[in-house]
Amino acid sequence: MTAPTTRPVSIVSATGMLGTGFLATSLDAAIALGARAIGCDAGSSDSGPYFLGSGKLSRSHSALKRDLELMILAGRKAKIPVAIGSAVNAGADAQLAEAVRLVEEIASEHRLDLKVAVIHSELSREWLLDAWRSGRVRSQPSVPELDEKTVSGTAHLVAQMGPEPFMAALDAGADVVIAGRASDAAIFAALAMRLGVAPGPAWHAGKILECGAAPAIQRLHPDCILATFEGAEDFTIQIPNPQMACSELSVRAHGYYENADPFQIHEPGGTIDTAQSRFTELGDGRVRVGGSRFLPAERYEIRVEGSRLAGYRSIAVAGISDPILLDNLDEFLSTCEAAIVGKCRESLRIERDADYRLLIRRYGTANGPPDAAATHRVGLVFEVVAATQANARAAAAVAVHTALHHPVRNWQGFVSNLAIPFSPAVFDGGAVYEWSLNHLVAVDDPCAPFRMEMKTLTRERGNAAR
Amino acid sequence: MRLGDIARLIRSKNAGPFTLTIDLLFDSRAAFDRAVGSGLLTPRRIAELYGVDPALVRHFELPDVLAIKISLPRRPPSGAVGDSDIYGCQAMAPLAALSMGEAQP
Repeated sequence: MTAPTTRPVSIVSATGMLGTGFLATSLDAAIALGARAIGCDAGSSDSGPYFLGSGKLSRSHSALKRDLELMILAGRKAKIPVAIGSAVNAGADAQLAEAVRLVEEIASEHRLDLKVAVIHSELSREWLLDAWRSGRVRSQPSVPELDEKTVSGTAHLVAQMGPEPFMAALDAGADVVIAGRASDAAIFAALAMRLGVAPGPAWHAGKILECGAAPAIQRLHPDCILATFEGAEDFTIQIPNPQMACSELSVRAHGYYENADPFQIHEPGGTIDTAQSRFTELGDGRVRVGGSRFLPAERYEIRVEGSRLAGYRSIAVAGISDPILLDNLDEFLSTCEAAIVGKCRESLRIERDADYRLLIRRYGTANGPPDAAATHRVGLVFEVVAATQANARAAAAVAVHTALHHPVRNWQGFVSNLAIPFSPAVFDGGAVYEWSLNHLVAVDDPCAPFRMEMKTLTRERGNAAR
Repeated sequence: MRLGDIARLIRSKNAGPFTLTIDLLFDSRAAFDRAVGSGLLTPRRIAELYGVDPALVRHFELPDVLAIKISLPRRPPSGAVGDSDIYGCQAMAPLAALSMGEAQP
């Protein structure tokens, strides 16, 4: 156990998501206020299963590099560590490699001596199957049970690390930690605990810091946020940008955001318990928090996330304004759908559900006739997911063209119904992925699944990684 | 008068890809009490509205911050073929549209 802190120590979260930006002056202000570590979350499952499945980045290289560069330079200048979690987006090895490449570029351009710890979070299907066979995998109520087929159909799987791998990297002397998938709060909990802060305040502060300036009364733009730990259990939340302030309500309300339970937040290795937390406004935009606890779990569990290929998508977007058609939109769309399915069978020799899935989405109206008194446009998205991009594109082209001229009750003669906003009308969306895994795995050693490598970048050697 | 008219904010978001969480935030104790007292937000009613198992609906009343939180399984999961809202941001709409009866002074 670490001893309770006596002197105040601060850590800063640069922004809620690496690549969304922050003010350089805010980071400078945080360091002037005493920040002794810089952390930043770089990912989430929020943007969907595509990024883990494909290994692509959700942000541009230039946006990521801008934020990383400011953090690394500030960290080197103040001689304080920088830790990035969930690099970048989902923590797949391909994404982690991109983040490391950006750090190497920055080190080379600024001629920095840098020890960079790279912590992997991508795991093999065999690793998960072993855990499953030995009874260490637990499903949660709304997640399907695991089976061998689900695992073998998974394209990539990662696990969310807790604070332990970050702390091990810092103990090994890392100036910069680039970690794969991690609990958002664990990045900051690790930085704080390594400065001697007890787990309760370290974890709760981490949970508040992970979204950057989001706990502000009014978040004007993505920016930095600072936690200052004092005494055995208190910490103070502050936004270093003087344009933004926190209130008791804004900090408490942020605690509910994205959390299924407002008082019990499950994390790797335990639960953040905020039921007894006290929040006090200090009157200058700062809020003091005390009484938060971290309850260690009996078994240390890490959350595994997996993504599988579901097919390839093509879409077409269209609008309908014809009031006569809109009188019978349900009938129009159901007969149109049947015509699309028939045409795909006849012309393309593909069967709905067996070979492709067809969805006609409606925007601007509920099911049923729209309010006749209102003038409005209903938006539609025609979507096809098929086993090949060629079939998806072909079926989407059939769908949009069929609907374009589909007969409308109460009109006689040849009709054209869709206001198609784009040319070409059909877009290829590329590979489609679906979540296949979201399960808890018990581990004996919280660091063991997360392989760490230490890279020493030196200006003398032209920053060749050793 | 809809539930959305008496709340300061009704927001929804994924709490992981398989769970939705909806926060209803109010400006006054009267509005909070009216929402709680409406009986519209019980796990049974929420389960009906969202087509999920009532046993899996979690409901929290937080009077000291004038908030109600409801968490429920997400159908379909985020990003599944057929999902229309990857972030779950518009899952609040059915709640915001619930009728509260006539306007009260």
